[in-house]
Amino acid sequence: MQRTIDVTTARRQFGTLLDEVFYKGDVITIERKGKPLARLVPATTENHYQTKTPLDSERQRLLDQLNSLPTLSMNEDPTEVLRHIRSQKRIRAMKDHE
Amino acid sequence: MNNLIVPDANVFLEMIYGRSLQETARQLISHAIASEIQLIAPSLLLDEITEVFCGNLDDLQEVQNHLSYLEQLVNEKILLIVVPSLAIRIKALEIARTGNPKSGYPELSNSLYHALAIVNDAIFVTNDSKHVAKVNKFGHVEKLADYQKVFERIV
Repeated sequence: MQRTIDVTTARRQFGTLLDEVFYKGDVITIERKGKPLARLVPATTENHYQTKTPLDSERQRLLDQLNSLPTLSMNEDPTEVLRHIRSQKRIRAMKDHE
Repeated sequence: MNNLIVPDANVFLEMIYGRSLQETARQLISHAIASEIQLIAPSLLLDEITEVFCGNLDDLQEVQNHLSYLEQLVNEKILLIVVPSLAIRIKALEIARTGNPKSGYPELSNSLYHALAIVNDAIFVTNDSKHVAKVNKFGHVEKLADYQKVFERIV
C-alpha cells in the first residue's frame, strides 16, 4: 500500500511506520506543506506478510482521498462528546419510563 | 475469528477531528480499502457521526466532504451498513443491562455495535476505553489504540 503523511505524523509514528514498511511492504511518502521530502520503502521484499494486489481505480482514489481529507477542529474530545450524546439517550429513556 | 471489524463512530471521529489516534484510524480504513479487513457497522453509525457534526458545525462544506467520503465507503462495500437483527438487539440489551451503579452501565448504542461484532464473530474496535472496561467479559472488543495488534492477529 502506498500513502503520504506529513512530517509531524512521521516523527510521532516512526516506529509504527517502520513496522508497516518492513512487515507489510508499505511505501510511505513523507511530505512537508504538501511537498514530498522522502520515501520509506522496504529494504527487502521477503518479509512481507502477503503480496499486494493492485487496487482498482476507485479504491485507489478513496485511499488517496483518505490522506487528503480536511481535519475538522473541536475543542472537546469527540469521543467524550459522543459518549455524552449516548448517555443522554439513556437518561431520557429512563425518565420516559418512570 | 474472521477479518470483520466493527468500527465505533468514534474511530471515524478520531480521524475526522485529527485526534491523537488519527493515524491509527486512517490505517484501519486503509486496510479496509485494500480489502485486508471488512468493515461492518450498525445503521446508527452514520446518524451518530452526523449528530456530532451537528453540535460542532464550523464549515458545512468540510462536513459534507467527510459525509460524502463515508457514503463512498458504503457504496464501494468497504463499509457494510446493517440494520441490527433481532439477535443483535437482544444481545445488545443483554450487554447494556450488565454493570452496576458504581462502575456504570454500558450505553445501548455502544452495545449495539458490540453485539453486531459478537453475533458475526467480529471485533468491535472503539476509542471508548470505559466501554471496553465494562464489557471485557463478552470478548470481541478492542481499543482503537490496540488496533495494530488486532490487525496482525486477524490477517
